[in-house]
Amino acid sequence: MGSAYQIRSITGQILDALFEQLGEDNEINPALIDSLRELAKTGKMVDSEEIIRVITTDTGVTHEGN
Amino acid sequence: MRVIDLEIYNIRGIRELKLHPGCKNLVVLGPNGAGKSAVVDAVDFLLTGNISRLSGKGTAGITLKKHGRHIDAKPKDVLVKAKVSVGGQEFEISRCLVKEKELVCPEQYRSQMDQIVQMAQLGHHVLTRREILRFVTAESGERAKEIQTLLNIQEIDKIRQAINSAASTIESDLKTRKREEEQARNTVCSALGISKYDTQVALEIINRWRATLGGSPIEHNPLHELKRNLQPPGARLQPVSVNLAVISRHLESVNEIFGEEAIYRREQQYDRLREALNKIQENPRLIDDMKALELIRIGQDLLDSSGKCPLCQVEHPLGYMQNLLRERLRYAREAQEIQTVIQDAKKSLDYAGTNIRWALGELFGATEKAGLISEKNQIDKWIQQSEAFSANIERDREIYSLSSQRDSYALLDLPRDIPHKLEETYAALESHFPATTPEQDAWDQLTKLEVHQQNLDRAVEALRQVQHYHDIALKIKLKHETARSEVLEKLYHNVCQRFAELYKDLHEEDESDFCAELAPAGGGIEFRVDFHGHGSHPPHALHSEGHQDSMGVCLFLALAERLTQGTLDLIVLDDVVMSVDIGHRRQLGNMLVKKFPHRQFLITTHDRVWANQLRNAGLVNSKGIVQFYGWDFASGPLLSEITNLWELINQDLGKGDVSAAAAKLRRGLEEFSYHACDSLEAKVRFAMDGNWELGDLMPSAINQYKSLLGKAKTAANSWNKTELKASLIAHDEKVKKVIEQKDVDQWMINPSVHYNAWVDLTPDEFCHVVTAHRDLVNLFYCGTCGSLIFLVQENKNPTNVRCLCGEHNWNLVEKPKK
Repeated sequence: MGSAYQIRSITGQILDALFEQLGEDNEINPALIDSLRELAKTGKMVDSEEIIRVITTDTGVTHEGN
Repeated sequence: MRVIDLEIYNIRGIRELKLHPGCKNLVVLGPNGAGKSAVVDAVDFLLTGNISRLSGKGTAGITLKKHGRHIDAKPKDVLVKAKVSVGGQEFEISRCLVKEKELVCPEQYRSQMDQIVQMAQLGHHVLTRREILRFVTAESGERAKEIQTLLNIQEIDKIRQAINSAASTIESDLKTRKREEEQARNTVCSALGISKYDTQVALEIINRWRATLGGSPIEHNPLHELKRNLQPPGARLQPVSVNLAVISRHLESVNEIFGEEAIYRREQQYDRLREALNKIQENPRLIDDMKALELIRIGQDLLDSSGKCPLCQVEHPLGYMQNLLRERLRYAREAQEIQTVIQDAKKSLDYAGTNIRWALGELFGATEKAGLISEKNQIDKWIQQSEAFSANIERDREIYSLSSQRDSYALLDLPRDIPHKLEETYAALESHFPATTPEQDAWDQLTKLEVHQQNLDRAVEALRQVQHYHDIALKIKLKHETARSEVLEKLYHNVCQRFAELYKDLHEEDESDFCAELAPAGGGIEFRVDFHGHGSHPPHALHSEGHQDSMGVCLFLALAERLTQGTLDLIVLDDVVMSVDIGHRRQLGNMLVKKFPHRQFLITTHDRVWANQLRNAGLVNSKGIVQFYGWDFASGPLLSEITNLWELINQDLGKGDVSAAAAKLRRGLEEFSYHACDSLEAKVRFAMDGNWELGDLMPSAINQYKSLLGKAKTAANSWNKTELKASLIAHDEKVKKVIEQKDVDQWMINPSVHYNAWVDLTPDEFCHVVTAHRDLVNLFYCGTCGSLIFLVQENKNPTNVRCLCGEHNWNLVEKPKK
């Protein structure tokens, strides 16, 4: 067992599925997904300001290097 | 996590209590008010830092600090300690009321305990009678809340709202950026003297200016290219404060706006606007719908599982708000179309207004410098009129309040003689300011364009950036919706399947085809169950109270199983079978053993029968039952462990206390014979009050045992199973000896004589009595699994006598005769 996020709670399962789907999207920057994961780990996915902060610091670099 | 040892100090009605479940199941048996639920409270406090019974509805004025402790204990003395086993590691945890938020545990196990505490705080570890009511019999909204609390749906909803809110904020920012980009582009158009931006046309104009300055044409018009390789025109003798050429081009722009074609286009926009406004006049509700459109959309995003209105927080039945907003959106569709027409018209009219203001602004400055007071005042008036026009069309309220009469549009229109009057003003300006050279004019135009192009480039970049953020936010929102639906639907399906499976296990006799539906509905959870094949209904609609309790237990177990697998093995069932009949209680015990072998149950009950059924089912052995006989203020629960009847009796005999041993033997035999009759379905003299003496029960149990053994022998003979038959005959001989050993039948006939006679025996003499009865009792228990043997029937015909593990299995069915 690890951090609180890793509990297979329903919230955790949904967020895992979300991150997996985002990871399959070549147009999404992997660093952005990591930042969202970090938010989830610290329980900040309930804060829209935090989500906006993560999105608006995205550099736009994707899997394809665009 | 399982509990090895539990120590409770000064919690609720408990002064000091030490329990030793040893990672196994534990039953706490005792009458009402004996302190059973205080044990549950203590476990609750240890795991969560709270006592759930002291919070929620109807607990106003009750606090953990004041009412969680034994009435006169100090907070520092209120303590719960446990030795627990987590993932094979054993360690001690504790919590004190002084620091109720702090679970004390070895640091290396902190993260594991944090997870366990998190689950416990959601209520995954305890089911009480109160929760059953909420699960099953309460209003659907309350039930949904209870299930949602376990699932932590509230957090899921909060995340959904945060994601939607982030997407909405970014979308709103995108709209602002689009507007800014459009304004910057319009300004560039004005500087170029064109009505609509076209790269090729813009390039032609720029290259014309460049040619005037002797420059070569450029193929693109990025900012740094505009003046590439150009030299400014030679120094002027005196600075030119007004560039007539620029003003002239603005006049051309104004002429174009008031040209026939532009007026025709504007008239068309007015017509469309008028038509839209007519519709609004016919159906004034459309105005409300239009105004509410944005609110409805935001409202849909903000709806959560509580069923509350996100605006006023008034509670509604589940799904009500969602349906209402969906319906409002449907009605608002016409309003939406009208709104699109109005927005298009506004955009077109605003473009005209912006360009006129731009031209008038230039002319205003020029007339001021030239001292043309009356012209300046006239232009100022038009500017104000134009600003009012733009401001009005920006305000939806002004548009909607217009009547459909053409005259009312005067507000939206400007005087048509503006071009003519501006020509006169221009002529007056020509006498004040010298004409600039074409080179100077070209240079000035490029300089202005540079500034506007710079602003446009910034606006385009800002728009591109926000568009990118918007795309990401939208993807996160949509993918989260998909993930949420997939996970929840799968979860509900699996929980529902498991629930139905558990429930059928309890009620296989009368509801073998039982099925249930558990699905998200609106913001809540719809829970419906089949009623004997007559359609699905709310669980409390047609089923009896006992069936509802079964459902509550099964649903909780199905949910807890899904959510705490491998983390929190402890499940507390606090007096949950009050309305369940005796037969189904036994089934429940069997089900817990069979379906949840890897869980540790802490079960409280006031019902001795249920406790013994649990023992007979093999859920606990006799050491796993802790009995509270009563409670007093000084000591708390009056505890007596029924460890092992024979062990306790031997302890008494060891002390020479035959009287105590005799009392225990009699009470133990009463309990045993009660369950033996139940288990083997022995015939007992009927008693309306349900009070049977040992003399009523024991002979019946023995007779039924002998009778069933006889049937087993006959069946074995009919199947020609000689070995089995020999074994049963040998067992029969043993049974006879055991029964004859102390003439047990006779002991039962006249208890008032024989039981009293026991106390006159010496410990050695009584030891023989004990041995005889123990041998007798042991006949009814499986030597392997320790469970009480029971009769199995098919269509009311006895088929087997067996134990839970199957080691003991007498076939009673004879081979059919040819």
